[in-house]
Amino acid sequence: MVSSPATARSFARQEGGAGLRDSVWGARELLVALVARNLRMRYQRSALGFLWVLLNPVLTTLIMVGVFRYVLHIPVDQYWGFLISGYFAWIFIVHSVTESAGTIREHSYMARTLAFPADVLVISTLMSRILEFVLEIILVASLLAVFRHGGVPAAFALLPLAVALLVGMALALAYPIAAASVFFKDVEFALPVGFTLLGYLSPVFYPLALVPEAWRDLYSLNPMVGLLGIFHAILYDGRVPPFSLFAISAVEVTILLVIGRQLFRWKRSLFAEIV
Amino acid sequence: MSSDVPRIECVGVTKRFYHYEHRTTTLQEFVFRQLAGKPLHVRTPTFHLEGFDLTVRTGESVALVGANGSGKSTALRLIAGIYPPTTGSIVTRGRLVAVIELGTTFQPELTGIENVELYAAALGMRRREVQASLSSILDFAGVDEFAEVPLKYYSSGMRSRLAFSIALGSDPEILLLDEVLAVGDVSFRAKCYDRLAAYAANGGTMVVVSHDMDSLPMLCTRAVWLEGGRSRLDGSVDAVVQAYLQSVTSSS
Repeated sequence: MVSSPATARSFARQEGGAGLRDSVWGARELLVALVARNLRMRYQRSALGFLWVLLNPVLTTLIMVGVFRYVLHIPVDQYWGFLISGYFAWIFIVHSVTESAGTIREHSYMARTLAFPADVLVISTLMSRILEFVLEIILVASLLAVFRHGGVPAAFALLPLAVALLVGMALALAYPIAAASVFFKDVEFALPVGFTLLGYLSPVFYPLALVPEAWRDLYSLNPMVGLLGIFHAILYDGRVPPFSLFAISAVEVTILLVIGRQLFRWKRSLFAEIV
Repeated sequence: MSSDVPRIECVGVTKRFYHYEHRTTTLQEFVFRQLAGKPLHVRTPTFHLEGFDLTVRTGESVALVGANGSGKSTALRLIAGIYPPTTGSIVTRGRLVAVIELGTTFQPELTGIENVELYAAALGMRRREVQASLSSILDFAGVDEFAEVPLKYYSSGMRSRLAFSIALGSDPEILLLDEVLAVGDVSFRAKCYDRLAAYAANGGTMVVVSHDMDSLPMLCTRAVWLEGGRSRLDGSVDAVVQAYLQSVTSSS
């Protein structure tokens, strides 16, 4: 008996038609429609929606600056500047991955009744978060330009590249986690624990320089270290990060993205039956 | 497309599902079972389709009939590309629209128009096409005045009508309908039958799963009787429906 769902002898092919079934590119109009739906649901339907979107990170930042600066005395000049340089990038990873990981379960009716690449659900959810993140980064960059750098450092021009790497990282994580959560109900419970752990093992609340020298190589195996390093260098230091930092992060993101996407595609054809 | 090229070609299609006595559905159990060397699932395979063949040519309207569990809906989902076949091959040629469950993809918070845009995109329509046929879709569903109203305020009949209207308005070359013909009130149903008849008359290809034996002859010319995942009889709709009904009444 054949154990794999797709063997050499079995295939389903659509010739002609819109190409919706075959690739994310073929389903791009659906992708756009889903992003439009997500944005409408989040912002247009509630007048207060956008206010909360901004208020929440602002309040969290104030609390954390208070705790880490005045209670724990982290020895960093202008700690608020350091914190907001990396915090929003980290929160983007947490929120976008958590949301897109649950998206196939959430829209199970689509997977069960329509033929389209499930990638579209993950990518559209992620894309709907990018707008918010870009606005936050603009706000952060403005604050730092005015109150820390007294001008706009040339390094800020590299922010789009940094954001692109971060989005790639979010997608690399979202792909396999989304696939796993189709099969395992408790992924959504494991995820917050995992992110809390990873958050404390990344230079979000403290700088890399405070990590003991002996541990730093091991610590830096976490790809978030490099990514956050890029954000800190550009936003907080206002200087161009070393090229090696970009190169290493780009390689890490690419490798994780390829692996994550393969894992997703390996199980993708079963989603409609399982979810 | 020339009429001798089949729109749908299923050859030796098998679809296996499982009956689970035990199913691992949590990461926690997955890890424990892996460590203990226990199998993840205890399950027995069941075949919803076994050696299913079907060829549908351009302009044909085929009804799939059979008892519950005979594999009709599974066959439709395989043709639609929602499930992959376990073995065998399925080729479809042309724009395919499958209406599996009416209106389940609708978003209650979005308006009628926004839902049309979303569902039409999910069925493979381009944005330009959606804009061009928007008013005719709303008009056919009879929900023009509610176009800007969130869908949660629609009655279930309105929702079904809208879903059906989008599917028909998406200009399919192959239309798959799964038990969705009992839609709306009498007058809407009559409108649907007219529309489907016009679609078939214009060379549209259709596969319909339905238990409504009285209305099938109005829609289809050919019928396939499925039993135990295989086609038992394939022929004119009248002959197949009659044979199927006879076997049902004689066995009960």
